[in-house]
Amino acid sequence: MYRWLLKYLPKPYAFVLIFIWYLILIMMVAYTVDMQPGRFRYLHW
Amino acid sequence: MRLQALFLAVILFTSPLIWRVPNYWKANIMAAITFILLAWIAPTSVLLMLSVAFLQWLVWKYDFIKSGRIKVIVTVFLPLLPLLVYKWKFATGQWLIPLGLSYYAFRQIHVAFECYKAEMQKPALLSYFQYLLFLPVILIGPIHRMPDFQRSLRRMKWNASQYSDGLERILYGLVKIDFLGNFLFSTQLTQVARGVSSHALRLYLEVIAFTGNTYFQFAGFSDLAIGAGLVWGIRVMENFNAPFMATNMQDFWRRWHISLSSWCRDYVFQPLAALSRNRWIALISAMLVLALWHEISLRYIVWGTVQAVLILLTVYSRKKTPAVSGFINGHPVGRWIGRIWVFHLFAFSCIFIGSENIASLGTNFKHIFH
Repeated sequence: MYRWLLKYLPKPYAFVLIFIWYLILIMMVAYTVDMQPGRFRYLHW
Repeated sequence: MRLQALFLAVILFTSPLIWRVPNYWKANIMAAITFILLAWIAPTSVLLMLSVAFLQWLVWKYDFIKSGRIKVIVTVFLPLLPLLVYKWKFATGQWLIPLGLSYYAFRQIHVAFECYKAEMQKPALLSYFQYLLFLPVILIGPIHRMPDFQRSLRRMKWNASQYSDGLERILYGLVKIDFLGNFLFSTQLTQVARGVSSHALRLYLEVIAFTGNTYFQFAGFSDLAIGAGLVWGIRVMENFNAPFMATNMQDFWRRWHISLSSWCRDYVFQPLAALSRNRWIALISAMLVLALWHEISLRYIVWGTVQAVLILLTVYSRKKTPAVSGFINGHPVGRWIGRIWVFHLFAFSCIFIGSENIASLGTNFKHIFH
């Protein structure tokens, strides 16, 4: 993904998009792990 | 998942060490880390793996069996015996299967066949252990091949983009397992299904949830293995190639769990087709081996047979109705019809493995079609 963005976009735009893309993915994983029963929910403040 | 998380953490923390040491030591250190971790978590597994590998090596090294055929039978039988015993005992609810046995037994059988075919040299004991003790693929495959592993080992050179590809792949794997598999398909879609009043629709949604969850879990774990392999500098073979983009069942099995289906093609289908001169017998046998590898049970035998019949029907319909087959495989609209058809065929065949017994299988089908 990051290779593709770096290829087709100017670097500053590509870096911002890569950052947002990875942040979304990490938040998706963190959210679903956090949703598991029996856990203290860090993301539900 | 906890075990996989531990393995991933070990791989990530030890990766700077792997990249710092001279090339000669890399494989040994990777094997040593794997050995220590496995000896701590699953001593039975590592003992079984290494003792079978050692016995195979003894047969190769000291030519006390002269006949090549008997030699291959012995070296295939050595890993096959514990695999069958443990799978059978597991099926009857008596024993647990040692960690990763299904995968490393098939790797050992692969090496035995390749040595027999003289496609590769009989391995030295150390390089054989290095191949078997490769942490990223221990838990849930893929069944990578030894020549590929050794090639990758020879070409090992620091490559920042390969390392970041590995990290990205791990992240994609986690998203597939946690978000798409566990959250969307397993939790959310199942909840939606429970709220539906129609029996047929509920079961249909449950079948879709089961199939989607199975795919994302399995593809996610394969991504983790491939990503972790890249972080350690080894390129592991791909295990899934967008299987639900396949337009027929034959194509589907070239894209789903590639390492296992190609194993069955190379070591069951091709030898049996050559021996029996009947590719249908060879195909059914290959699909049965593929099914029984998952679990020794009646439901998997039925599932494997159904898969074989679906492939046979694909080949048969290609011959009998070339126009329809050409439309399905060639036309853009036809390709999408084929993809939806293949997805549903596979999803509905999964009812056989999702059902606990024949009675619940009958009830499931009855609810869908009534």
